[in-house]
Amino acid sequence: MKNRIEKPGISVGFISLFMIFMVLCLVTFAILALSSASADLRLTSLSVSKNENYYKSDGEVQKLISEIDAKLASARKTAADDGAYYSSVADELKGVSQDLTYDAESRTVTIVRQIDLNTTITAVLQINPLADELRYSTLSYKMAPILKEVEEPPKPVWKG
Amino acid sequence: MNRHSRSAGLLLEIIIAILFFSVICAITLRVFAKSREMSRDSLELAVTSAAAQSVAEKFRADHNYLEYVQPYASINEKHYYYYDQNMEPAIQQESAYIMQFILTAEESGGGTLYTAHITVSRGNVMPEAFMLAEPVCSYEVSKYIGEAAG
Repeated sequence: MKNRIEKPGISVGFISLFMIFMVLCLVTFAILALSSASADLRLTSLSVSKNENYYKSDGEVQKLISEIDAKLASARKTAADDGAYYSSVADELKGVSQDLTYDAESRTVTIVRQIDLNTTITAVLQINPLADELRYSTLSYKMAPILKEVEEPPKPVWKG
Repeated sequence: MNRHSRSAGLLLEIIIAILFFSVICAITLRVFAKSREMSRDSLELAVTSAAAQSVAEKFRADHNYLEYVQPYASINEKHYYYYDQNMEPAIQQESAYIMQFILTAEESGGGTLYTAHITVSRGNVMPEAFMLAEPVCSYEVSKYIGEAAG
């Protein structure tokens, strides 16, 4: 009978196991670092792109307001009274833009400009009468979400 | 004999492990470097965008901004501001980023539509060489100021 005394130390197989563990750790950390950095960059790019779209749409709204104001200024020069002025404004504003709607009753102009698929800039302007020094007043100027129509009514899950 | 073959096996295993480990290290190091580069790009984009937005919002919100700016930044004239690595204002020699500000004005019948073109580029360049710097982010902001009816 042969007595074998195992000496403490590195044995065959341990190196491979240790290497597999190290490789798994390295690959896991590398994948985590890359996915985290990639998600971060995507989010920042998305944020910058949203800002660009917002400023672009806002610029278009400002341009529309300048066009409306120019039309109001020219209508003021020719109108004799408020009635003639408002009807002239209604005619003038008809073909300005598709984003613009004029409500003759409340004498307000609403501009709705889409920023992206989910958001719009909505500006509401009140056309002031001839006696007022300001041609228009801004009632509201805000970003608003586009409300999507629900295709199917919600189904009740539980009826108590 | 047995002891000799065991040592040879261990040596062979170590050599194979080191080789394989080197290959994996080379691949993962590249991945780590790429991640670091992406993180740096992301941070750069975020801070430059914030700086450009800060100027843009000041331009839009502050009615006196044009009065402040106009004596220095006259219409259609290009103006440059320098920033260091942390987006703090800096002198040209110590800068890492350069911001270009151009103000344009478009007269309409009732007032003036001002547009500010704000571009932040990477690099320590003189204003004349701004075109050569790499742009990081750019915003175009408009603001209409109507004249009161006379």
